[in-house]
Amino acid sequence: MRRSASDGNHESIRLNAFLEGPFSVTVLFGEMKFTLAVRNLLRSGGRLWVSLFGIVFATFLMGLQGSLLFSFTRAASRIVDAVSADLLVVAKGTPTFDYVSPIPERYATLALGVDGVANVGRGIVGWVPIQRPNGDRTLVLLVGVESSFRGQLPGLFDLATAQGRSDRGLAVDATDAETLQFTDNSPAVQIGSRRGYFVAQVNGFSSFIGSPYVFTKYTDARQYLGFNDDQVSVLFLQVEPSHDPIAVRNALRARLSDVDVWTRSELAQKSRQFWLMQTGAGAALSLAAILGFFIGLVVVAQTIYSITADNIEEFATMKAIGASNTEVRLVVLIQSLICGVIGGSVGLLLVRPFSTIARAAVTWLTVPTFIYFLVGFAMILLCAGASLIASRPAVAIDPGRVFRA
Amino acid sequence: MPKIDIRQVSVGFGSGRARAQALDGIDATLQSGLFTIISGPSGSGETSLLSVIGAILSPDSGSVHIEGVDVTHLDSRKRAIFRREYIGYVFQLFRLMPALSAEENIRLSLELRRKPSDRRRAITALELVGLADKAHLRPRQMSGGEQQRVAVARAIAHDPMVILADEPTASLDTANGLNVTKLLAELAQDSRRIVVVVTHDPRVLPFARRTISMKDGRIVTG
Repeated sequence: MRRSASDGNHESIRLNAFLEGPFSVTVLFGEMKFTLAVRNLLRSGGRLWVSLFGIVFATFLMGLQGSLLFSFTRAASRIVDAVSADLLVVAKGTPTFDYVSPIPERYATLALGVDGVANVGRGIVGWVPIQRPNGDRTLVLLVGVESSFRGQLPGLFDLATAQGRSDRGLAVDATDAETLQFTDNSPAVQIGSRRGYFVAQVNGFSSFIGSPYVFTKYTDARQYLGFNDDQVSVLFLQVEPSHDPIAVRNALRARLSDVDVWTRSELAQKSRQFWLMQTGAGAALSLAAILGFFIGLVVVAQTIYSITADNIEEFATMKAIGASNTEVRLVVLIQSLICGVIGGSVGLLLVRPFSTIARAAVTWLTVPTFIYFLVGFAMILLCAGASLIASRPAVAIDPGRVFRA
Repeated sequence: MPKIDIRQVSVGFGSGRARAQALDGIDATLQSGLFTIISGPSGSGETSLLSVIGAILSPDSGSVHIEGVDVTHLDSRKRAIFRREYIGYVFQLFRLMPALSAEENIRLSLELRRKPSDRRRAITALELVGLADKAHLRPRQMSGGEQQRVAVARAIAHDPMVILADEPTASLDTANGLNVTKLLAELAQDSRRIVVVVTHDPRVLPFARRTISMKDGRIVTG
C-alpha cells in the first residue's frame, strides 16, 4: 500500500513528540540517528516480529526460571528462616535441616553453660509415614518446636485449642492438604504408629520436595517419631543481646566438638546449597535461565544482523559522510535496545500471570520484584551484546563503495 | 583561496599479475571558484581520484594537501573527521536514506558532522536547491532529479570547502540532469569552494571552467 505524504508527516510529528525534552532519547543517541534506527527497524517487517518474539520468549524464560530458582532457594530454608533462634545445634555433618539426626538432649544444658547463651529450645524433626483415609501412605517431614522458639512456624497449641483439642494436633500447608486428603470431615490419620488429628491448614510452608511438611507440638512430635527423652533433633539457641552470635557460636564449637553449631543464616545457606547443588536442581534451573539469555542473544543478534545487512549501503553512506564507528554501532544499538525494551516488557508482563497458573503445580513458586530488575538488566546486556555482533558488518563496511554504481 | 594539491598519487588494486593500476603518478592542483570536471573513458581512474581527494581511499604513494593537511597520511578515524568537516559528496545513486524525509536526510548529515541539525538549517539548504516545499517527502515520493537536488542540499548544508560529485547526472533525464549541473556550476562560483565533478555526460562539459581528461590512470589533458 502506497503511503501518502501526509502519513509521513503525521508519523514524523508523533515521533518528534517522543523525541523532544531534555531527558529524551535524542539527547543520548542523537535525534536523527534515533529516527533512522526506528524507521529502519519498522521497515524490516517480519524480522522485527521474529526479534520481538525471541526476546519475549527469552525474557519470559529468564524471568520464570529466575523466579523458580529464587522460590526454590527460599523454600529450601523456609523452616530454618522461620524459627526464633540465633544459633542452631545439629548432628555433626548434617547437610540440611530436612535431614537432621538425633543428638543427645544434654547438649542443651551444656550450651546454657556457654557465656552469651540466653535460652535453649528443643526441636524434634523427622520423616514419618502418614496413612491416609484411603489406606495410602505418604512420607512427611514432621516438625515440632518448643513454642517459645517456633517464631513464624504454625502455633499448634492455639490451632489445636481452637478445634477443641489439647494434643495430637497436626497442621499442614493448604497446598498439601489435598495430597494428605485432609478434610474437615476426616481429620484423623495414622502417623507412625499413633493417631493424629489435622486441626488446621496453614500458608507459606508448601513443600518443594514432594513430601509435605507437617507441624505438631514438640511433645507430640517426640511421641510420633518415637524419640527417647534424652534425644532431640535440633537445639535452638537465643544469644544475649550484649553478645556477638559469631563469638558465641565459636565458643560453642569449642565446647561441643561432636555436633555442628551454625548461625541461623549459616544453616539456612547450607540447606539451600544442599538442595541447589547436591541435587542438581539449582544447576537445572540456572541452566534454563542462562539458556534463555543465550536464546535471546542469538535471536536478537541474528535478526539485527540481517537488518543491518539489509541497510548496509546506508551505513556506507553514513561512514562516507564522516560517521564514526561509534555512531554506526549506536544506530544498531538503538534498534537492539528498542527490540529489547518492547519484547522484554511483554515477556516480563507474562511472567506473573503464568506463575499464578503454574502455582497449581509448583505451589512454592513466587515472583520476587527484584527479578524484573534483574532480568531487565540482563536484557540490556543482551541487547548490547547482540548489537556488538550485529554491527560488525556495518563497522567493517568500506565507505568507498558509495562511489560504485 | 582554497586549493587541493595532488602530488604523484598512485593507487593500485589487486596483487601479482591481477594488479591493476587505477592511478599512476597523478599531479594536479584544483582551485576554488572553478567548476572542475574530470572525465575520461570508463575505468580510467576518475572515481579513484575522487575517492583519494575525498579522503575515502588512501593512495599507495603520493600526497593530497587540502588546507595544509595531507589527507593521505591520516588514519581512518582522522580521515572520517576530515570528511565530515571539509567534504560534501553527491553520488550517482543519490544515496539518500529511504526511511527519512528530505529534511531529515539533511539533518542526519548535519548531526553526523556535529553541526546544529535543526529544521531551519535543513530547510535553508533545501531552499537553495528549490525544494523547501518538498522537505517532508521521502526519497521514493520524489523524482530522480529532485532526489539528486536533495543530495546536493545535503552536500552543501554544512557549508563544506570541497564538493565532490560522482556522475551526478547519470541517473537523471535531460531536464533534471541540466538542473543539477547548473546547480553545481553555481555552487562552484563561490571563491571559497572547490567543486569537482566526475562525469561521462557530455551535457555537463559545456558548464566546466576546467576539464581534466584521464586515461589509464593518468591525466591526459587539463
